[in-house]
Amino acid sequence: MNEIVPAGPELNGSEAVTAVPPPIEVFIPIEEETPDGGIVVGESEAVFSGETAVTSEAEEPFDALHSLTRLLVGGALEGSAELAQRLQMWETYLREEMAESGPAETEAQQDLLRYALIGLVFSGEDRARRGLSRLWQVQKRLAQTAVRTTRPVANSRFLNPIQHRIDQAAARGQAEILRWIERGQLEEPISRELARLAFGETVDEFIEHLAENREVQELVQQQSVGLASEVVDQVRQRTFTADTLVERIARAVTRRAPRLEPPQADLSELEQGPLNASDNKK
Amino acid sequence: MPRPPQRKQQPEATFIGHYAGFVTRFVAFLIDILIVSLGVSLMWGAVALIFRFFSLDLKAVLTLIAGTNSFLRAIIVFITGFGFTFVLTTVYNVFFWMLAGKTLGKAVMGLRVIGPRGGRVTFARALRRSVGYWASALPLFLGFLWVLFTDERVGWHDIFAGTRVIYDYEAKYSEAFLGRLGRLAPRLEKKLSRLPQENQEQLPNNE
Repeated sequence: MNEIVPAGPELNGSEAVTAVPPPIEVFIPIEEETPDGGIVVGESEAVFSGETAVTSEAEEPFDALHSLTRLLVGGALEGSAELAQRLQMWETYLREEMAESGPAETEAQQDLLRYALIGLVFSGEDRARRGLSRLWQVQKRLAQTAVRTTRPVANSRFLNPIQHRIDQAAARGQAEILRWIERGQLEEPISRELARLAFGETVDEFIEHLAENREVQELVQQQSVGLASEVVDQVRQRTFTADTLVERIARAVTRRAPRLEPPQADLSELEQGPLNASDNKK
Repeated sequence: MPRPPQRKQQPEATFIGHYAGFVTRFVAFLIDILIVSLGVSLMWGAVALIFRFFSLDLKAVLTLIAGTNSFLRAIIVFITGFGFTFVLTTVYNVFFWMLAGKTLGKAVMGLRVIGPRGGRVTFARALRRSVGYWASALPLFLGFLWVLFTDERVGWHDIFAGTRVIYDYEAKYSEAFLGRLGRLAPRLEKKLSRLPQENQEQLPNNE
């Protein structure tokens, strides 16, 4: 678990957002043919220029929905990271365990069927992954072929007026994506921090509540007393057994007959009431 | 069809009111020693604080009493230390034996000190028993080991004071412990594993 950082001004969006990113300028790559037949890739003038959508949030008033979104995003990120880490740890542990114990033995038809179904699920996952990878390769090749085929048409002078508009639209789309990226870069640490803080404070409050709750206190106390008395019982039983054992050895050394039980005391004048039999009954 | 003879199920043998053995008493004694040592340390701390409060120097006081003779000084320090321990041990033992028949260590281990025929431990008996501890400890703790070799499991201090120590709880054998001991020393396993059954057979009416 990551360390929980105490609440700071950055969570109000002041410090983290003070570094306002520079305005976005989008350039379109231009391919120009050289006299010797080669192609030089250059950049046009900025076809789109503007301020980023991410403005200083210190000026923004508190927005509950915005904070909730941050909390959800941060929680999802932190949670998934934590889950992935735990899963990796568990899987490593299980693999080591399995390597030590060896594969399970198959006994019945039902077991075989169950194993077959489980195997099918995992094989299906592998196949789906391979299929997706192949699909991605095919899509990439198709796109390359399409670009190569349409290049003469797209670079023709007839399409120049339209081309400029298409480029502008593409640039706008690209700028929008860039804005998303910047926003994501800016929001991610804040969201993570917010989630950590919210989680940490919730846990602290929960523990505080537990510590102050009288019922919980009584329960813990009872458990502790129960545990302590169980330990004492165990120690008593063992020392009692050891009493007999040591006495047997001592009697063997002195060549006396072993005793089967500890001798009973004469309690005819017992004044302090019955012994604690009832206290120790389980 | 004739039914097989069913073995009568016997209650688990417990040994409440039987004389307590060496190991349990030894563990109880260790707990008491720990408590008394803590008390002695606290007392020494209190003495040191009092000396400091009145701006007294312990070495100066010793020099005042014993002069520069280092042997005499050592003797005085030893006697003072021993005296503290002796007094505290006696007070602790006598108080608890008279009050409840058990010190804290004995209470933890489920033991009780009784007078003759189970009677209460009087002041005189408690005092004699506490002093008897030192007598038992002096010859290499032989007086304590005496518990192992007597039928009533008595140490010298018990003989001196006319007291006995009994189990004050439903003492019973720990079969898990027996099993573990058996694994460590396989030759003992047979003998040890017979113990609970033998006792159950011997004590069918023991509740």
